[in-house]
Amino acid sequence: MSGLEALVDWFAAGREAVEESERSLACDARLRALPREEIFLYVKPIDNTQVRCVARRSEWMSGAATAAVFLVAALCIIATIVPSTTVLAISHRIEALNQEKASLVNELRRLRSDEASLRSAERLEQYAGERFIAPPARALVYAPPGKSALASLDAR
Amino acid sequence: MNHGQQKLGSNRRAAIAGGVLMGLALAVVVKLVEFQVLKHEYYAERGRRQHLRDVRLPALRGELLARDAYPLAISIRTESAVVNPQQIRDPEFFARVVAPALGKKPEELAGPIAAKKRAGGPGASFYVVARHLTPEQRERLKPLQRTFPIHILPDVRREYPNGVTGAHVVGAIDAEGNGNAGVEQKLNEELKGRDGLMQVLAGSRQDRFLTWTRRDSLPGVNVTLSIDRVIQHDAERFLREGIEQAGAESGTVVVMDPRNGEVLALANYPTFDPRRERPTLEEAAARHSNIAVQIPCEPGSVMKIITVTMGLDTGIFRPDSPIYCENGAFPRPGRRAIHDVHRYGTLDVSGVLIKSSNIGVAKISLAAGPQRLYEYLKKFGIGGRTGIELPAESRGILRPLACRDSRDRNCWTPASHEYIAFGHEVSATALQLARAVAVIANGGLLVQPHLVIAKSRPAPDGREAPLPVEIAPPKRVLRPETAITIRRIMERVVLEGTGRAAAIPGYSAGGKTGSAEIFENGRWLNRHNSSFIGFAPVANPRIVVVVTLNRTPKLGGVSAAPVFRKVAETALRVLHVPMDRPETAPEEQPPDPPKPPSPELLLASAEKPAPPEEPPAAPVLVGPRVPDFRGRPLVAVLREAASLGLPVETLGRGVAREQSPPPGTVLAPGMRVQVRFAWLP
Repeated sequence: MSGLEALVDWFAAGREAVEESERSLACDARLRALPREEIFLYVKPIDNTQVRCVARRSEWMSGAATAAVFLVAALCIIATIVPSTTVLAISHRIEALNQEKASLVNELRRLRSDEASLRSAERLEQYAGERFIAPPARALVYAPPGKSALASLDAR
Repeated sequence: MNHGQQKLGSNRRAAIAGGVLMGLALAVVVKLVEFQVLKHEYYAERGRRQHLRDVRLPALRGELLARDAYPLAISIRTESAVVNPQQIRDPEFFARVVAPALGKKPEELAGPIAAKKRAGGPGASFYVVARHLTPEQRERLKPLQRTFPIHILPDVRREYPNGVTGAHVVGAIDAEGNGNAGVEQKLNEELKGRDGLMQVLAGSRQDRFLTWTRRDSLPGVNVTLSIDRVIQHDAERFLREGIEQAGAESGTVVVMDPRNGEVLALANYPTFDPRRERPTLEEAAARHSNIAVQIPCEPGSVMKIITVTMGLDTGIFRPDSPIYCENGAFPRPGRRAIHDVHRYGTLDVSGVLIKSSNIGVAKISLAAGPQRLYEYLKKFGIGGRTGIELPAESRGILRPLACRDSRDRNCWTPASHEYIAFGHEVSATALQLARAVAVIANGGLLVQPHLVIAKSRPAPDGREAPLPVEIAPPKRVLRPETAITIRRIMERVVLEGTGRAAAIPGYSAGGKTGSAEIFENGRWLNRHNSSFIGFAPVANPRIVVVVTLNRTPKLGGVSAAPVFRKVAETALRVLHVPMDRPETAPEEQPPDPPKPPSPELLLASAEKPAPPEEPPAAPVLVGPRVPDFRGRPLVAVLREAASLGLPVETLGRGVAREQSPPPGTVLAPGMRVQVRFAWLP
């Protein structure tokens, strides 16, 4: 197809009609001059519409073998690289976990130290002194009423 | 010059040049032989050292735990900021920028860094800007590291969560991380573990590295101590109060479990703060003087316990054997007379200990002889180290009995056993005294005082692998019956003798006071090493307490006994020991402080009649219940009685047939169980 008209024709008349018209228009051979060069090329279009590709069995086998070799080679490379890569990745992961564990153990130690400090006898005494042994305010001191007050209540 | 001569000269020059070249080549070959053959190993080693370096992987120091598993000392990994002063161009500018990030004043950093920069030399390329960075400080330093050559290095901080409590037991570490006092010093090798080793292979331009671990670090051993934090804290507090009230200079308190020798508390005054990295001179001195185990002193009257025990255990005396106490002055041929504080006539052996008669125990010692006294002192552990896990323990002073030759001054004189009988010419540490009184308290066994009750090493899987702890097994040195008899006598010391201020509300207690006047620079100082040693409860003692106050003008019954009462009360409460006396018993007033026995007073008192003694108040007691001994052999009866602390009087042989009082009776103090034995028909 050489242009929009041909495309429209192809749509209009079908593929066979277009091909027929192309064959009728095409010349067998032409001399073409290369631009700004004194060279002439003899150009002849080749019709390969009738060409049929016949695959030979040996070529197919060769292609399959090549593909298989490439596949095996790729698998070998993967089998070689993947374990070491996995080991490397796992090592990094283990190292990271070890560092995290060490950090957490250190944090645990610090917290245990803090707990021991907070629960030391000295600190507990300090808390007790601040919270439980504070002297009561004067207004809160309870004074029992005298006998006369009780007697007056009875009388009432 | 013709052609032939020119050729000859040219050949000569060529020969010379060739010779020179050959010489140079030979020199190169010689040098190569030296490098490659003769000194191959040396240069190979130098090459390896340039590329291969060892890096130390510090092990984490083990923990010290109290008996309730709370840490007494624990290491925490931190980070510290360091700089190379030679790399800092302007210390003033550096300090103005960095100091606020660390919460410091600029002059704190600028001065030392500038001084190091000026000084130069090998030690001037390292300066610690801040130790143990907080997370906030670390975050603030991070952007500054792009501008200044600040390096963050791993560090370790040793924390003591209980502060000064138990400082002399736990100890402290120095700047290099090695213990310099207490258990930290004694068990330093076990606590610090073993450092790991990492090798670094560096490129020729130090631009690429390959590292591998040659040896993993072995963490330090975690050590559990027998110290009870509450008892320890209260012992230190009551000791400090006692020293202030008695006007003493120093003192010590030891609380021990007599059954197994576990030290529950060990307090000294003056003490120190282990958290302080740069202690004052006084604190540094206190850090290295653990009075309870390092400084022996004359025990005074507390030594009478051993003398009286010897008299009873050897069978020379019975508790009711009469001893004439010479009315206060016992003249000795060729030397000064032995005096008592008060004038006593005839006392029984119990009375000698209760009234603390020097003359009485001297006579017991005279009757037994020096050999027996020496043997019993050794049996009670006087003059020998206890083996406690504390550094620089003193063995005390007990001179050898036999003299090597006539010039030997370091042996017993013919009169030594008279004075050693009441605690002179002999010295013992507070811990040795605790071990000695534990023999009485546990029924006659010499135990090894110790602090370590468990050891473990952290395993890689996070568990703790227990390690063995070697404690010498108790050794019998005394018959149980003798121990129980002495226990009862010592109880009477507290009830009616010189140790009345040591009576504990709700508990029975036994003990003995001691006061040794200090003789220094040729004169008596009117200052004493006052002490009180005792145990509670009497029937089955759970604690032994030794209180020693040094250089106090007051005697042991006034100064040390109240400290004993307070410490023992706390310890019994903490250990959940059931009361064996009514708690609401009227609190006894401490006796009036007797004056120290100066020679003038003793002479004057010798002229005066003895003051009338007040009859002892009959205490309301709840004693142990008498078990049913009937049908048991003698050994089983004695063992049962010893475990309950019951005095037993045995009659006959065979199997127990009758007993008085009957089973289930509550035995009052002073009473004994009479068991009649007979063979079965």
